[in-house]
Amino acid sequence: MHTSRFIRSTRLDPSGAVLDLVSHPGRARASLYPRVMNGKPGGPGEPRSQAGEGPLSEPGAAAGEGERYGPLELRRLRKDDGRSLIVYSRVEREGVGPPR
Amino acid sequence: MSDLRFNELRGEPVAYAIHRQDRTFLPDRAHCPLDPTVPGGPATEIPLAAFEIVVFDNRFPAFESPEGAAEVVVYTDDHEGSLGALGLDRIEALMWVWRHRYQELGAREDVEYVYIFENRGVEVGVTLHHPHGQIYGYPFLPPVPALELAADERLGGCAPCVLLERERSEGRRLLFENEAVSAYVPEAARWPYEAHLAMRRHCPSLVSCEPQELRLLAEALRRLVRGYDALFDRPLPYVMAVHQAPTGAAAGRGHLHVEFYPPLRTAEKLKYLAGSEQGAGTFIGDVLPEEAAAALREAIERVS
Repeated sequence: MHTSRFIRSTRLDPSGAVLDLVSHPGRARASLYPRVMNGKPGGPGEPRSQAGEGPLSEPGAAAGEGERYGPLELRRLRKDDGRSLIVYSRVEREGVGPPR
Repeated sequence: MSDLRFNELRGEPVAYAIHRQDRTFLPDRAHCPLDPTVPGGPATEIPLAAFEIVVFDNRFPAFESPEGAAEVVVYTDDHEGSLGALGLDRIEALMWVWRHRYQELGAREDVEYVYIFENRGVEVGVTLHHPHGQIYGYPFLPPVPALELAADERLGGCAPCVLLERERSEGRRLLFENEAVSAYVPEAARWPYEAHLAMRRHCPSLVSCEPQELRLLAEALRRLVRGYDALFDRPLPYVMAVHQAPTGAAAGRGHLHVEFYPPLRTAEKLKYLAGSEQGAGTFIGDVLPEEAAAALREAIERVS
């Protein structure tokens, strides 16, 4: 993809107005990185295990360690062609708490 | 790889993903790539004999790293059925999966907007019948969310909050409410039976929702899509669009709501996007939103 040719973006100016930007070659991309989502540093959104690590647990995929996210457990696998596969299972049925 | 261009006359990006011409198209029942892989059967996208919910990188992506993402979300290992046929616990789990993907994709530098959606029915271009949705991580802010931000400016605050307040005070197009979510046909619906589910509290995204709100959103989703299937006594095709706050430069702006665009205007007749809609950008409606709301309320009541 050739998004470097332009990036269409929208950002706020100090007064709160939306600025509609079309940046062309040579213009800097509006950026607020590195980002932390909604003030939850170190939250479950940050990948904690790399897919492809660990022993093969399923034919056609390599498995990582299980992680918890709210009422879910997730396992990150890597398919034979390198694509990511995440398997989600519900581990809590009641009394769902915030994500860990 | 995709090619992204900018249509100057329309003022909008156009993505060319020509490799998608070869994507799997309505395979026979025995070769569904979203089924589990069973011993002795063909290998599918999911090398597991059973699963609850899985998410994987689209084999034919419109966007991909390092310039965006395209993922497939499979709701169940049961080939038959639909979002509305799932149990409430499973739909609630799906809300957490959406939340997780929004949070994780939204933290990526190459993703400006996380868009969760479902195309249901061949009428809206479904190529696989197995119950599933998709997620695009756009490397730019797409036009529709940008328009919603512009509506915030026009209305002097959060547009979905303002519109929800209007719908609740008028009441004629309300479908139902629970403790966290309101369902309504918008005053200027573009599609004959368009409906929106909006969080009553100002939640920019799924990440802002409390666990109980996610449960109530799941409950509302289930109620609406079951009502849709009761409307014409057939599985109703639709596009489901989850709108949330952008995750890039405009992060934090927005209000979580889910929009449904069913293309049917009767049990058999499609609403086509024809001359006025495509060439002038003005939808010509066949059903008044108030009448659509009354019909939907009755259908929802029948299956609740």
